[in-house]
Amino acid sequence: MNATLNIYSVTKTFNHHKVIANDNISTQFLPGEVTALTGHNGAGKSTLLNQIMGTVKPNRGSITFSGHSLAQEPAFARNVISMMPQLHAPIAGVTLRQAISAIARIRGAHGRALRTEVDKILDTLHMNEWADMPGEKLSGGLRRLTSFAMTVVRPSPILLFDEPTNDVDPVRRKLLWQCLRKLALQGHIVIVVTHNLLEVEQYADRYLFMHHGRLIKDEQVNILSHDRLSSAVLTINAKHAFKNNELPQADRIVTSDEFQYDLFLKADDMTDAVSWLSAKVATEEIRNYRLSPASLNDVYGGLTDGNKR
Amino acid sequence: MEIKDNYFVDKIPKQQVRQFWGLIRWSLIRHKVLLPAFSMTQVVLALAIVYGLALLMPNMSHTDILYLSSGAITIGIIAVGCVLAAQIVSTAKQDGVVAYQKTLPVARTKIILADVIIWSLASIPGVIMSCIAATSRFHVDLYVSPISITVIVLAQITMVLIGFSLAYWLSANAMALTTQVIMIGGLLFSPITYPADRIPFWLTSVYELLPFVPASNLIRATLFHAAPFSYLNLLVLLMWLTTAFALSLLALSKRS
Repeated sequence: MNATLNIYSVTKTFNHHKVIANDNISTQFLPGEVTALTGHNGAGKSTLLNQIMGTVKPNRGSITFSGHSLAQEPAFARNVISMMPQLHAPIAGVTLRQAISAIARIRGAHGRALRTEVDKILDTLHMNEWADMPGEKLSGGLRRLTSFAMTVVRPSPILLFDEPTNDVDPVRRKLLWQCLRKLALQGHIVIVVTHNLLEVEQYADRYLFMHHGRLIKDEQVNILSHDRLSSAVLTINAKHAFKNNELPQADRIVTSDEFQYDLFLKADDMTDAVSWLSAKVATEEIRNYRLSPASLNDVYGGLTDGNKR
Repeated sequence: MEIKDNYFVDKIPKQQVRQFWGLIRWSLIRHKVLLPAFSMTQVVLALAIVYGLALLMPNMSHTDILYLSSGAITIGIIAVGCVLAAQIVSTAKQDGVVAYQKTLPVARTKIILADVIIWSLASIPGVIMSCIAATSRFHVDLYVSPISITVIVLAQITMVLIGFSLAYWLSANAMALTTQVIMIGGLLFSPITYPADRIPFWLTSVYELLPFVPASNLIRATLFHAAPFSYLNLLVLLMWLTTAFALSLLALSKRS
């Protein structure tokens, strides 16, 4: 049975309905797909994960998987979901190998199969060197990786990760994402909360963007990449101030410093902007400039106007 | 991915046992450094009560000796359950261990049971040391029997569960304060190490409703044959055990 995880109209409030953590969220998570959940701090991403996990109960709405309500059957949710928490998993006093083995054992592995599974994940993440080191002596990144390994050893159908790559070095970040991809290919539902948009673009299939508890974007990452390439940012440092009507046509203009302008250009605006730039460079009105594709951070900021309400 | 059948049905007994053993092992290895330290603490506490408190009472009657001997065992059990276990679980709560445990695919009762086993085992050295100290210092007779062992185990489980409830439900500061009050009350004021007729009747009535004095009475009755076995004391202890278990279970099952 290939089951999807369905979220329908989920609303969660805290502090006597004063704080709306999730506002009427509906979406679907498919097996075989790596979905990134992004958004500012406090956007409601972790709350959504915790509701899927069954440790937080929605005020309204349903979360179902394979005909079961995860919101109403927390015991079932625990059996079909593995979750990597935002904080480190508890590893003080135990070695990395012991921590991973303990969770594998709790998830039903035993004997030679258990050792094989633990060795496999240690190999995958290149962590053998630290396998027998006590948890409290590990660096932040290694603790995070241990927490990750504890989640993916003997993996459940649904895998939730809350900022798994924080503190992790670039080499192992890649290994970690490759591991997620492999799990997705095996048919797991993989949901990753992350602020790293470059990684989202590189490794995720789909991204959800949350803002103030609402789901404001839910689309394939290749669409996001297309959006990026069809827009650009022209940053200029001028010798004097320009009025807005002296600048070329742009979707948005941000004056970030004295005589510094960021012009967010659409594809149609680019030719005129380059001509304008050539003229101003020739008349030495511009000290320097940079023209680049819109970064994901620009797309992110454009969606939310920062984190202001 | 094929969803395996065992995600939908209860796991088979063999898997359940393995899973439970996994929980106990995990708890054991996490506390492996602390347990010997706790054993030493209990040894010192047992010696302090049997030898130290005896110094305050130069002319001890046989009754005083029995109270001090049984009191040492009870206070050791209270110290492990209501103070040490409570503090460790409270720290675990702050470190996110409890929240993490909540996400594991195990029944909440198993999480509680695994920790109860660990902490009950942890209080055994104190019980043994108290018995050794009492027999060597006062030459009292011990009546080790299934009923006295059952009573001691019951007292251990009750105190550990009370400690868990305090840790799960109270903030770290409130928990620390409560455990200090329990320990000071248990060690200095409650009729655990001296006969109840030395304090006002109303205060005795209050102590009879709390779990500490009934536990002490039951240990004295069964292990020292120094008092009649009281079913009322047993009932009070069982009520506290049930309530503390329910509170612990509620805390682990609670969803925000």
